[in-house]
Amino acid sequence: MRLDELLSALDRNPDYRGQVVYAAPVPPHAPEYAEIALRPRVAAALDRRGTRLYRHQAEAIEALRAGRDVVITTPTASGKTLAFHVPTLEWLSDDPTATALYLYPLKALANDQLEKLSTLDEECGAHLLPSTYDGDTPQQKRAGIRRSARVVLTNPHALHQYLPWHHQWARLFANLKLVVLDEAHHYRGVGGGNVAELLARLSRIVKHYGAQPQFVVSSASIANPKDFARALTGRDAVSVSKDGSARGPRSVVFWDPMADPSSSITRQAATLLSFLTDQGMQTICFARSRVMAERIASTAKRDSATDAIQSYRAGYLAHERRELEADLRDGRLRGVVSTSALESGIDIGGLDAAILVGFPGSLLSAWQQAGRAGRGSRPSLVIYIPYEDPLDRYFLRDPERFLSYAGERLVLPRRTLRHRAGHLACAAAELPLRPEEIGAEDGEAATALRESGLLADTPSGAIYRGLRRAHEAFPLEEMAGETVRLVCDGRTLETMDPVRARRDAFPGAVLLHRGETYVVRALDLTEGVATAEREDVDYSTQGLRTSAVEILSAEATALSGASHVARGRVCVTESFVGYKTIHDNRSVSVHPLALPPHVYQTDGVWATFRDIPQEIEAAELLGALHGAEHALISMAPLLVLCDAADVAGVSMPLHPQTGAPTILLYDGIEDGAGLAEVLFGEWSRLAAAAHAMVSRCSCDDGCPACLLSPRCGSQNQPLSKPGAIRILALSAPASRKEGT
Amino acid sequence: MRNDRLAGWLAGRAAPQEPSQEAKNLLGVPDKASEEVVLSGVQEPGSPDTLTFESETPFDLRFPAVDLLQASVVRMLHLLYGIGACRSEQLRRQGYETLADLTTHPQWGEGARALLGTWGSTWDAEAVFRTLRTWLPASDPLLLAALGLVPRERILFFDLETLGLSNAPIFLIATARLTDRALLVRQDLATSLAGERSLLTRFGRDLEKATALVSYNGKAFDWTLLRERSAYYSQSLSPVEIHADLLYHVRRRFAGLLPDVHLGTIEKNVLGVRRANDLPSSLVPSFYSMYLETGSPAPLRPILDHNRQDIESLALLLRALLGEATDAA
Repeated sequence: MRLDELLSALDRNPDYRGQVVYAAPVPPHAPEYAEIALRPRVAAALDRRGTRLYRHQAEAIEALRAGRDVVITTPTASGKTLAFHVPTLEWLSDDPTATALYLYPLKALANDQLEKLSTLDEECGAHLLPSTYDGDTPQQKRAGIRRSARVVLTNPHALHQYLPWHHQWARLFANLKLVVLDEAHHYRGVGGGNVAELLARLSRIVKHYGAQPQFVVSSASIANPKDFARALTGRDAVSVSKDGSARGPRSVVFWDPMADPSSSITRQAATLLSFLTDQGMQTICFARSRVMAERIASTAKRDSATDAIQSYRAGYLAHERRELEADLRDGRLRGVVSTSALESGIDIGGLDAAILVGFPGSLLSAWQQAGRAGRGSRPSLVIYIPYEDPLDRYFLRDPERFLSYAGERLVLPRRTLRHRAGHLACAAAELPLRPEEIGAEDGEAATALRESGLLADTPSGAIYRGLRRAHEAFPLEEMAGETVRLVCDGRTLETMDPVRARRDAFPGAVLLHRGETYVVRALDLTEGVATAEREDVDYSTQGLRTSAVEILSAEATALSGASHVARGRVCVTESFVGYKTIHDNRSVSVHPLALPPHVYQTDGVWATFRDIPQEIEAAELLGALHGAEHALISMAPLLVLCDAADVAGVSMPLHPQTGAPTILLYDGIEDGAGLAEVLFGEWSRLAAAAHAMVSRCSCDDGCPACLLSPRCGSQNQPLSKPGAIRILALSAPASRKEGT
Repeated sequence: MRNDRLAGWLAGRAAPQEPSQEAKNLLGVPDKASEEVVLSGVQEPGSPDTLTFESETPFDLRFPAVDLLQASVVRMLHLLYGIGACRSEQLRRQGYETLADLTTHPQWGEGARALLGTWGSTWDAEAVFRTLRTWLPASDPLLLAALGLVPRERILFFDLETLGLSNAPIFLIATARLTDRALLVRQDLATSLAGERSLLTRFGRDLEKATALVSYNGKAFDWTLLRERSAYYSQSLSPVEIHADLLYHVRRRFAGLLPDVHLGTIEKNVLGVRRANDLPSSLVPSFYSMYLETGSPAPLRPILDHNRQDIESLALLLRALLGEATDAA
């Protein structure tokens, strides 16, 4: 359906209240093909499929053939996987002993890719014998896979466990030609830092066996592909980011649910879903939680002329999911409501329309979700419905920001001592560490390991001598500081660091895990256990944070507009004083919490304002700084891939250490996650975006869509909207247009 | 993270605990190096970080007569690929009693000739084992009886002591060999962690002179660890075709009759071995750690005694089990 037809159909719909505030046609682009010579069998297989290589695929293949590493960041459904499958097929059929290793962040993604690769392998007759190998691999199959599989698909946690058994994998490692990191945008923040350390260990072992594999990093579109690939693999890669695939005309509709205050967001999403399916458009709708997904699906099913609307979630059994995926591909299923589980990786074919209920936290995710609509050159539709949240609603007022997405920055944190010590211990347990392998920055960690009796020096190098296996004593998640386990019915659902545990897993907290809701009953920080129960609830909770921050050192300073910006090490004393329950976007009740304050070091970035304009009166100053702080925090995910809750802040009319009015933001995770460093570098853009967001909001003195923060520990008091706009203008350089 | 917090984080993952005072008293291990304890080991040339202890115990071990063994093996028609219990019975009724008879059979003749061909006229131990291992359970008494095909000086008993539960450094390897009338035990001890590599090299040389290995739980533990630790030092161990892990046989013979199948339990109930003031296995890592820390050899004495008794018991156990295997053959 064309955009104008859709809009006029909407206009005729009696339920329509004029919610469409902006509708942008995104022009199609014709496919750009490239002819490169392929091995006959691979060429024949692609011919039989009717597949021609796009320019970006050819670019990646040629760079790999030239011996380079590649980072490929073209959009969802542009055929990134073929770009590394082709070299794998060619190299492994040229050399019958050659092998490849594919790493996936999740087992489900590895399984999905195994099927596709196996099919391709059969079509080409390359005898890759691809196989997954992870915690789910049956014991009796393991030895056979180690002996003969030529492409092994696994995940970082599994690889961490298998590296010390490298002699059992000697064949794979000695003949390794290619290491593929697919869906690599999952490897960000502290967890990504872990993967980087793990890859360094992998490289060391592979080198020991005499192989020199090339690396492919495949990720959703991001702003800094080369830096990200280097941070992850420690190597330079050729970046392939320009999409050459066919793209039909796409319309992006910005839908303001506030235009119909009588109807909830869930209700409006369901109405839209049934409307679109009734128009014959196969539609996917993304919701934040499974409960919400089910509510939207059941309402839409009731309203729609078709029965073929279902909800999809990660918790379904594998065969149930497979059926739903197949029904989507075949078009039997006309509408599906999913959590982010269907965002990427899983093959469901291209649909006609995607509805995004709420901003998924990053433009990267938003475009992955949007990318589910569109198949080749057919037209597609994306409808974005924001919540009443500053960043969500910001895109209604600045749709171009959404449309012109160039990717957030993906960053890995600086290596912490804990990382170094843990990975050093594991490396020493894999092969003796020669003195030259212990870098200058590892000296302190190595000393600590020797002192605690875990490392012993011998003429062969430093060897590990712990009582327990190094890889069990140092699980990946604990090296990332994730020492608190979320447990339900005796099963660990996930692990988190102590800061996040206090923030999200306090007694009474509602936690989302793979789209399901859990209510936390108890949090034992000494034992590192949060106990939760599975419960369907229709409210969410938000911890209320207050903090005091001491600056320990300033590592860099810069000017941004009329403000001074600095970054450095800070010591945070953080308390969660209570929590709010939120229902339908409205705060329902506030409950006190009695958790001890938490003191930790992390990275911070702060702006000081020495010349406060006269328009801001002294009594208003705190409200102005406080409001600006909230606005800056809510815009942070625009610049660096993070959850707004990962960045926290304080503001003071007179900071005792800077001696000036100060806004300080910090990484809400022990030792930092690299966020403050990016915000420091991007401060002017951050301030400009925050300024634009607040000044374009139509409210008078601050609303949930601009200044009010659900996480504020001081009940959003005081706040001054005009003051905040002036403060932000001070930090945003005058030359930037975004502020006006 | 500050360094003291890192130390705290590491502490929980650390090396073996200090042994209790009680354990030290029991074994008469002094706290300090005040009391002179002298170990009478021999330093091998070229391995400054190891000491070797040798002992010889009178020991008489008889294997079932080879002709008896051969007579029972050739009657096992199901050692031929494609022949199961039913078909064996059928062939027997037709007068094919042995594999030798089968060599003239129109259908199975070729297979039987090929199989006997691999064994050779003198019955090559490794080839026979390969066949038996394929068709018999690992705990079958015949597999023990078949050790009689191996020249007795090429049978190697072995047992390890390590610094932890798994993947931990090995600091003591005991091996034992048979002569006509005695058991020769050799214990190679690492006097520092640097000695592990020499122990492995030396064990690798022992393997070259061995056709069969005898161990207790060695397939799952000791051999796996030896391979892993050798790979750690970029060395390789040549595989040995025949490995009799006596744990399998003990399980088959005594499961249900004894509370557990720990070597200690078997010693007490089957072999009649009494240990006086024995160091419990669980304390071995911490005693060795204590030695590393203090430099005093006092804690090594109980470790060496414990380990020597282990390997002697291993030989006694083989003799006990062979008694039954002889009956089976």
